[in-house]
Amino acid sequence: MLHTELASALYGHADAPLLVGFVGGLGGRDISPQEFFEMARVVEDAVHRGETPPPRLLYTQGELREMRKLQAVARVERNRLGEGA
Amino acid sequence: MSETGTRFRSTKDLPSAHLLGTGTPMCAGCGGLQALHQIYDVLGEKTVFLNAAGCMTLLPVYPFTPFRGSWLYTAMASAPAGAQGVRDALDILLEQGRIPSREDLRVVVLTGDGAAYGMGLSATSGAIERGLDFLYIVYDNEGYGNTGQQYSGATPHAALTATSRWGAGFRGEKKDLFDSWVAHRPAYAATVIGAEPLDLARKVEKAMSIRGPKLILALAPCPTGWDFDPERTVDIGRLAVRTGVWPLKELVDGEVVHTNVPRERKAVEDYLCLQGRFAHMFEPERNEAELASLQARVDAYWAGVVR
Repeated sequence: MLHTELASALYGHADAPLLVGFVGGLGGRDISPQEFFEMARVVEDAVHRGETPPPRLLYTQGELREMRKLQAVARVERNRLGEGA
Repeated sequence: MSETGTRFRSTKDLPSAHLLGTGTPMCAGCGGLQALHQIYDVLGEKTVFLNAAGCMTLLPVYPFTPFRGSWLYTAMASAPAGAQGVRDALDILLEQGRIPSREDLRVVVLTGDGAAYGMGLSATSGAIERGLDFLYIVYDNEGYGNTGQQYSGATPHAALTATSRWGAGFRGEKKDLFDSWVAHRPAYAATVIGAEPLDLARKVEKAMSIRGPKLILALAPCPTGWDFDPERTVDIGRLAVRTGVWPLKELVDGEVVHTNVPRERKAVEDYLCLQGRFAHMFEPERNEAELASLQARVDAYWAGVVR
């Protein structure tokens, strides 16, 4: 939300700064300190490189671990379906 | 419901192969997922789902979805508009011979009550008005479950929610979405629940045989939002029907027909007392006036039902 509003406010300005987009706190969740540190790291990196990275979806390590598990379960089933089982 | 013309004469005829995949992060005991499983088994693989933002948009675990066919994610208010676009695109491809008719897909909206009873009503009304050929599935867990069960247009009177957490609970009344659809004169409309799978399968089967806008409205017992143990999902679903709180009915040829009229309705409090969201009506002391008033609402509904 903040990113799109900043982007439109800065649109057309010759000296507009780089803007880095993040997606977090979906479904009313809190954004953890871990996620803020990651955002700071990515922003710092963007400043050094002078280019904008693609938007990022934020996960805590615990969430990412759960996500990887679900992907593994889904992948096994999809592979089996692909073999015509 | 009459048993003629259905391939589901008894529970033995229900599909035994299940199409919806695994690896989804839905809650244990989700009444919405239970209904979706059953609906999808009858609908089959040749479907494209337009999913309004809500619990069910968590179904896909990138890059996978549990559906055998296609799935699209829309903003809360716009799934019926998306369905119109997809239907039109399919019709154009068919008309121009760019896909054979066996590759046609059923266009299905999947939406929670937050979108169906509130934000998405305008787009839905427009789609029915245009006679769009689509199926509109609502999983109604009576609140914004994905974000912590804030009240929605579907929240029943006296339920505790994240936005009515203390005291007497939600002061409003549950909106009647079925009647709102009926007032639009759709091709078909029905209420269902996962705890009554035979009734559900017959209604989905009937909806598939009819062209035009069709509603399948499923009450979705929600362990996290309603505060009960996940193993009680089926019990609570059955009680919703047997107490008369959730009437099973359908719109056929312009007439509303009840498909399950409980011979002797159980007391509404038998349904309420299993759910933490109504615990305040029993503890620390019974709120007799409110219990009687909720019972009276259900009695008044059934008094108007022609048998």
